[in-house]
Amino acid sequence: MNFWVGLAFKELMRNRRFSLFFVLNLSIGLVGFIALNAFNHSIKAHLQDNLKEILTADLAVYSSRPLDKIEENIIDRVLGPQRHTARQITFFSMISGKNISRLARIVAIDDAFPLYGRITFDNSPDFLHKSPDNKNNSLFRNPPPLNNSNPHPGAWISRDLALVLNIKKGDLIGIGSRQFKADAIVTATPAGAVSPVELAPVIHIGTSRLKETGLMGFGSRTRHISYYKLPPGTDIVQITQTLRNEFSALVNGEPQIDVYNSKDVNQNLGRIFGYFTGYLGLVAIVALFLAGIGTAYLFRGYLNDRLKEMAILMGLGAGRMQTYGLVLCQVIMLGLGATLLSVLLSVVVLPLFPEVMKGLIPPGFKTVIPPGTLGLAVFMGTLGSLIFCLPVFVRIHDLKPVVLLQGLHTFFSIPAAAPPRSIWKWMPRFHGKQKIQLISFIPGGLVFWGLAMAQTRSLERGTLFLAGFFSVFGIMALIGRGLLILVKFFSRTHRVIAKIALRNIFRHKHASVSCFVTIAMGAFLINVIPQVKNGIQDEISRPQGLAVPGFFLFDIQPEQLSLLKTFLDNRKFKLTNASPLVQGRINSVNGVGFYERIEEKKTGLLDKFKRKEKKDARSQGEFRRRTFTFSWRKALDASESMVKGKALSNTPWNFESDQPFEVSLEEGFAQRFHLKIGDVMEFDVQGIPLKGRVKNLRKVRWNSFQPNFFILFQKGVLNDAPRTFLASIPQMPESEKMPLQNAIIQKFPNISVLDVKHTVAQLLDITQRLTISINFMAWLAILAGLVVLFSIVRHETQTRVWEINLLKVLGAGFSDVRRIILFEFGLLGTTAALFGIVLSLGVSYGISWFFFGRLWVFHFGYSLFSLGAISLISMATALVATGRVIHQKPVALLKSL
Amino acid sequence: MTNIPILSVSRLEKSYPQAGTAPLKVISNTGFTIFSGETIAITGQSGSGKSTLMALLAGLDTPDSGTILLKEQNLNRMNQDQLARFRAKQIGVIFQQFHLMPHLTAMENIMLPLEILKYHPKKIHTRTRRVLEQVGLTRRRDHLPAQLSGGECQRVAIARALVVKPALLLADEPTGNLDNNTGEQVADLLFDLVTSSGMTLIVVTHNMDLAHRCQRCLELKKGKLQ
Repeated sequence: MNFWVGLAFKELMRNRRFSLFFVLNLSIGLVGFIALNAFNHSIKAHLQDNLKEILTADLAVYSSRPLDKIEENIIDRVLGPQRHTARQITFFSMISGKNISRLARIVAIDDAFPLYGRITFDNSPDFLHKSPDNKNNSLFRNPPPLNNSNPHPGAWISRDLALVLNIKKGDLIGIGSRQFKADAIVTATPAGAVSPVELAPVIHIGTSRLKETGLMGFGSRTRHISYYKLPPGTDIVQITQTLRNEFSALVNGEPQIDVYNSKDVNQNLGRIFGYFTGYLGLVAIVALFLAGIGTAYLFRGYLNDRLKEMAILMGLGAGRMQTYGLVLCQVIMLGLGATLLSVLLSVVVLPLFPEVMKGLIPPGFKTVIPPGTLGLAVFMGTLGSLIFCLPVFVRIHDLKPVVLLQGLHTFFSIPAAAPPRSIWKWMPRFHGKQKIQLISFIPGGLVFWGLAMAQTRSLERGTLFLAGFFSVFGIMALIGRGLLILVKFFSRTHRVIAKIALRNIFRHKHASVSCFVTIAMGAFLINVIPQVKNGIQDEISRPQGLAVPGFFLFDIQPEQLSLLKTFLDNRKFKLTNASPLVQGRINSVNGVGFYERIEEKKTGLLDKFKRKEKKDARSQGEFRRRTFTFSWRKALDASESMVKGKALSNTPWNFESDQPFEVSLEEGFAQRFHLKIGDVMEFDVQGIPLKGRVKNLRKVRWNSFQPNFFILFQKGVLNDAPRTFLASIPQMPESEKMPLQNAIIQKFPNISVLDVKHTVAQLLDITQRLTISINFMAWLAILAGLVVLFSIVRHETQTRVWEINLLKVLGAGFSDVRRIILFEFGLLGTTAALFGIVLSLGVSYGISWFFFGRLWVFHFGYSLFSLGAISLISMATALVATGRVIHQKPVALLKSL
Repeated sequence: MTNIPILSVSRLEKSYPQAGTAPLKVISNTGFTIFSGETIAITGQSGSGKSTLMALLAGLDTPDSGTILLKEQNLNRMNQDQLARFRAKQIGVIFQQFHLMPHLTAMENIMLPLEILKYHPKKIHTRTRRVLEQVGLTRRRDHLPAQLSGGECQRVAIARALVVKPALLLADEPTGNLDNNTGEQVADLLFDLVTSSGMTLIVVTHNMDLAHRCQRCLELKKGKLQ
């Protein structure tokens, strides 16, 4: 045993270049995978350890109105008297500082908030951080409590708001009709730790002073939250369920109150990170796949070199298992080496994740490589190597020492195929060895299938991803074979370099097609990821054909609309897209409860998985929306277009009519809730049941920041419903923004004005930072692709060493040989890259069309760059890989077998 | 045979470095002259340096010292590209293992040196067809080496070496991979073609029957020709 291990090690040491390249290649594929896995694990562990602090309670009850007596009684009964309670009311409103107004999220809290976690304040001499050993009660000692009877009620403002409004501690802030004094600058809140995008900065005030603002009128979209801290040992999951059931029993249909516990929060946050890391994970799989191809190629070359030695070992009496064991041992050693290197690289890469995602992940988050990830790394490194090399490994199955007498060429020879006789004549035929080789690809396929499912957390999506991946593979193989016919035709040229190179391509069919497919796959992957990303990025920053407004206004009362228009007209501004907004509920669709109907009744293995996914999604906090907003409009806005069905009637709907009114749905909304044209939906608007029929589906470009709605009604339906209005004001010079905002807030204190540019900048900042990680993964895939390219070209040219030498013996000069190689691999690289890019454009368009609402922009420069780069890399790689052979003296031919 | 020297070798030396010991001298201060149209056999025991001498004469390897003048051109003074061009025109090599391009047909293999020399396509086809006829492989012209017998492969290799009408033909154990009968047929063909074309032939062999068919026989012993 020791002898074989020693021999394996010695051989690897003797072939240092191969060993190093193998290890480097595989570790490039593994590093993204390991780093991402470790990051995922770290974020989950962090959330798990800080759940109560993130929710600030064991349990929270959310509603859009204050809880009534019956509901309070239920809570009393279910949670018991030993609970601690904290209350919070949040809503958006404009606030004013020194001549500056700004939209803010008002968070009114009582003195008990937060039940867990802490609010930290600006570290200045008068407002020190509370001591960490007294987490819950010392919070209001310093600064003073918000719920007091001071003539100027206190407010804690976020640092962002303080900067924007130019406010110091002690300054006054206007909220509605009341002045508040800035008592403290908040640096961090427990819930804020996981809220990456804030529409507006936060200001905390006391619940007891909320009425004084005068902002709690009709149309104010407030959220009432009651937090509860329960005695240790309480079964929180059970209590949550009991509360949900009790609230459900109160109303016919969907309850109007949501109950969350810390586990729901964990699953919800995990889901948000899951989407992001899921995408990165798929790119990491692609990188691993490419590295796997490179590894297999490298190993094939190595094994071919070792075959003679293995035959000699067999001839000397080594058993087949010992010979297998020797190679197996080497693969495991190399795999372990790759694992070690990839873990080391991950240690370097991992700290970059929190840096890149600063603001998106909770503060104090630390990345670690947990033992589970290390285990996975070892598993992927060793077993992964074996799986990648399996198709090559099985080739030695038939190796016999007799090849030493017959020559190794007999081992590689493939028996001639029988002439085709049936309609299947065009299908590829495989002999025994090839069948075994084909079977040996199955474990690799299964592993990738498993990985894809694990990354997407879905059987369907994982299968779709893999099927798509292999379809591209198949298409490329077919194109490659088709191109051979053309190559054969053009090889009739009298130009000797072209003739020899073209002949090499079509006579080495298998090698050429596999080289073509792999380069094309690399080009495809290199292009498809950035192409999809570019489209989304472009659309967010510069939505094509749309004018992003300067301000977005909401909470406009009906009686204010004409006044606001006149007010703006007088200042030479224009109020655009004023859209009514009515809140209501969806009771049923086609007579079945709105959410009940989504519960699909399916059978079969795939459906079982699907049901589990759905169940998982629900348990992961896919919280049900209770209220929806409805609107109506004369004509569609420029940011929306009808994609299916017919336009809504312009005739106002008659309440006396026994026919349902017409409804238009946003296509994503319809898809999410399984709605289609013709469905009859029952709505509840202020207690009045209304029936509508889906007439069309619309595509909405939400990034236009114009008032848009999921559900539009036919005219006349909501005429008498209580409503508020949304509207926008077109772009204006930056210098005019603040005076206008201040003027609006002074005249209409209840209207909220959102500076769209600020929100877009915030979104772009996050997109930009997420793009960095996406780019990192894409580049990892590209790097893996380049290594594959090098491995393939090197392998292919090494198999031609003998031919190259013969050409030299027959009189071809070094420059001729170099030109032949450049022509051959340049042509292969260029055509493969061209087809890879063309297919990537098609697929990226398909992905953008299907998943991202046709957000697709052709980046000609990038495609052209990758075409040139891949062609040059193919040629350069071929030259580097053959450099030694080209300059070798042809005497080697005399010495060859 | 004429009195015009076609190949002059003088003070040729070649040694190979050995790990830990002094370099192994394979060719030691060797010199000889061969006249145009002459046929020479170089014999010697295994490891005597026959193949090394052949590699040096074919310009496949470079000597440590000494000169090789082929048609008054010093091979040692040429760089690899010049050497390749010169070899393509002036030297034909026949290997024991045939060394045919496996993916090219018999005809394509024979055409290859002419294509490398950028002959006119018409001339390539005329010459190739003629040589194919001479070696009796017209019917097998479109077969791949794997579909040919050993004797046929060697005939293709001979045809490929002769098609450029080189000044010097070098054959390394041309019958070494063939059975007696086939070997004899191939040797007959080789000598017939060489004699009819007036070509100079050097055969490296330890087959004494083949060696005796040559006009001169030199033995390589301890790195020197005797």
